[in-house]
Amino acid sequence: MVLGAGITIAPSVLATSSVPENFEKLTILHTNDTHSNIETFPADHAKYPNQGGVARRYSLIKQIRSQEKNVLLLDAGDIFQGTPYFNKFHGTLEMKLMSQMGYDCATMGNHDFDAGLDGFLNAYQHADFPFVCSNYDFTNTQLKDVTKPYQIFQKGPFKVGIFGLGVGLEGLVPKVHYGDTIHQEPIPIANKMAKFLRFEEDCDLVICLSHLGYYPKQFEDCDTLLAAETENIDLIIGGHTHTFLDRPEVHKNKIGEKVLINQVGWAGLALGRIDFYLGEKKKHERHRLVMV
Amino acid sequence: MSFRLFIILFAVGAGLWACSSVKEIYVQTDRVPVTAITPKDDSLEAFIKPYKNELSFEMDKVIGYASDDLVRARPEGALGNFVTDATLSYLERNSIIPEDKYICIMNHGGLRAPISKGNITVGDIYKLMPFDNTVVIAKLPMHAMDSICNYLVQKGGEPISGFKMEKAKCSLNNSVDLDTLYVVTSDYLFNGGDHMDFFEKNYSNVNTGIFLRDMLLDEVKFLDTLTPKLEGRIQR
Repeated sequence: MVLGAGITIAPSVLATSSVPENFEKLTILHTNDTHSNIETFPADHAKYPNQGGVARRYSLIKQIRSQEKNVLLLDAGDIFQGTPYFNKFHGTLEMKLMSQMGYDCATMGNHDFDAGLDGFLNAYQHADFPFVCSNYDFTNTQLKDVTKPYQIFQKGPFKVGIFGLGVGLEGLVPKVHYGDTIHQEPIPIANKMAKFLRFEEDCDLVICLSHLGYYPKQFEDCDTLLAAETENIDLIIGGHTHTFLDRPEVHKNKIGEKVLINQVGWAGLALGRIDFYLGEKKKHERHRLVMV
Repeated sequence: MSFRLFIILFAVGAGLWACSSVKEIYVQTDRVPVTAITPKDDSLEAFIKPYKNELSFEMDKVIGYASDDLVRARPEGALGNFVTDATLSYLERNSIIPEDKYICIMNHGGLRAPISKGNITVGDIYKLMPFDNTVVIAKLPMHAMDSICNYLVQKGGEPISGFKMEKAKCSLNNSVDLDTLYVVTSDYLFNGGDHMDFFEKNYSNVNTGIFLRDMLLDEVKFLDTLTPKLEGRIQR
C-alpha cells in the first residue's frame, strides 16, 4: 500500500504512456488448450467455421518472427485430446508440430495425462522443447527428470524465467494415468519459484504457465487467486477453463504490484500476443509494468 | 541488492525509493485471431497430409444418419439421452445385462461434441467420446439413490437412463429389487471422476473392458437412424 502510494506520485509515470525509443522489445506469443486441433475447423462448423488450425497458426508465428527480434512461443497445457488425431497417433503428431512451429516451452494440462505417463513419455520423444511442471512431483514416476521445475531463456537483453503450475489430478484424471505423481499446492510453490527466478536468477521477467483455470472449476486455486496471493510474477498465461480474454487483465498481486493474466480460449482459435519493452538493465532492481 | 537491503530501503522511505529507482517495463497487448483469411503454411500443411490421409480413411466412414441435431444440455439433452440409452441397449442386446434391470448414469462434461443432423461418421463418434473410457457395471445399495438425486440437483442434471427425477425425487422406470440399485456407468465416473461420490469403491462392480466409444459406434450402426429424444427425465 505504501509502495502503491509512492508510485502514484512519480511524475515521469503520469507524463508518459508511450514507449521510450531506446527500449528493447520482447514478444510473447502463447496458446492454451489446443486439444489436438490440428486441422482448421470445417466450413460448416456451427461455431468456428474455417477458423484455427496449425498451418494457419504457423504462418502467423512465422510472420511475427520475421518482424520481431526477440520472440518466445509458449503453451499452457492440454495439448492432447479432442480430435481423432490424438486417438490414432497418441500425441506424437502434436509434439512434432509444436517442435516444427518452434515452441519454446509448455506446461502439462490434465489432458496431457490422458495417454498415461508412458504415453506422455512416448510422445515427448518427438518434442524438442522443455515442459515446465513446478508443482507436480514426478520423482517416483517415469517422468522423473523429464519435465523441469523452471526454464530460463535469454532473449536479447531479456532474461526470462518460466515455471509451470498444474491442476489437482484426483477426480479429474484417472489414477491409472497419473500413477504416483504427487500434486503439490500451487500457490506456495509459485511464490518460491518466482522469488527464486527474480532474485537468485536475476530474471527481468517471470512468467507462469498455469493450467489451474481462470476461475475456480474443480478446485479453489485459480489464476485470479494465484495473482492475488503471489508476488514477483509478471505474467500468468492461463488455460484449463477455455476462457477467451479480449486482452490480458491487469490484476494486483499480494503487495499491490501489477500482474497480467491472459488466456486465449482453446483449439488454437487465437494466438495471444504480449510485447514487453525494457530500457536500461540494472541488476536486482524492482520493476513495474506500465500498460501502453 | 540483497533481500535484507531491500527491506531496509523499504523501511527508510518506500515512497522515495519507488519513484527514484523503480524500473519500468512497458507492455502492449494483442490477440491475434486465426481466421479464414490467415494463409496456411504450405510446409506444415504438407507435413500433416500423410497423417490426415491415414486418419480420414478410418474416420470418414459413414455409419448412420441423424434426423436432427443431438446436443448436450442440462437438465436433459438429446445427446445424453442417446448415450445412456445406447449404453443400456448395447449391453442388453449383447446379453451382458438382463433387460430392464439397470439404470445408466454418465456425465455431461464427458460428451465432448454434438452429433449434427445428417450423416454420422466414425469421426463424429470419436469427437463425441474421445476418451478411452470403459463401461462398468455396479451394484449399489438402494439408499445410494438419495445421493444420486442430490448430485443431480446440485449439478442441474446429468445424462441418465432408466429412471426419472421430478422435483428432486427420483423414481426407477422398472423397480426390480428393493435393496439393490443396478447401475451402468464409465470407469472414469466409478473411480471418482467428477466426484460422483455415491460410487464407492467397495461396491460390487465389474469393468467390462468395453470402450464406451466402441459401444456407441456399434449402436449407431445398429440403429442406423438417430432421432433426438427429450422426455422430461429430469424436471426441476
